[in-house]
Amino acid sequence: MPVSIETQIFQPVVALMIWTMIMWVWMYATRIPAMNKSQDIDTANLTGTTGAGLRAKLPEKVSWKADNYNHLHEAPTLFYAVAILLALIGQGDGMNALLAWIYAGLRVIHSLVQVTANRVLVRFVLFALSSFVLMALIFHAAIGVFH
Amino acid sequence: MEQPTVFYPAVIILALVGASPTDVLLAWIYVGLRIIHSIWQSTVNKLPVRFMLFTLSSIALTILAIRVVIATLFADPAILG
Repeated sequence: MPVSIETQIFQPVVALMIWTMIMWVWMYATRIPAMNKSQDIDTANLTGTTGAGLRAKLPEKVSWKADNYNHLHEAPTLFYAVAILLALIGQGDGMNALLAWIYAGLRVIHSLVQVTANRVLVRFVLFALSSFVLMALIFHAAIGVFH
Repeated sequence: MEQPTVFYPAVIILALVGASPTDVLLAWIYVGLRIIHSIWQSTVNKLPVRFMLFTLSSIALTILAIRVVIATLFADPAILG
């Protein structure tokens, strides 16, 4: 490519990756003690289950952390792809870097809501807002690669 | 967000090492099949057709993935031609 790589957008990318790992820690920091406490779970001999199997046996709030950890591997996978793509075509700065920071910020707030109050309407508004930001990034990438 | 998450990094790697016209064609085939797959699953959704679409797209992705491995394992990506 004739244009130079613009890496500013990698900062929010790495920030969201770090946040995902924080959610990983949060998930197990609550899930493992809850499993140990549960009378229904024989952790040492547990075979062939998933989070769905655990959900029935653990307090709902414990599963919320895992729900969000899983969600961080859904729409954000599109965010990483479009961010790297924008950086490669030399458009990972300015407005796109700002949009990426807004996206990462909204996803962090979305996580905090989901693991605490978890009001679905609030979560939906945050998810919708972050999706609109993602659409803007994808739109910019589309202009960049098709023009 | 399942298989396409493999497609994105594969294509980015190929772009970085120099994608050939074959790679571009395979990527377009993959995207086209996934769009048809989406439309089919959202409307008619008869399983044999969905499975066939998924299998075809998987073959395209597998070839792309193999080409990524070749392009990254060997120093000279021109080997892909």
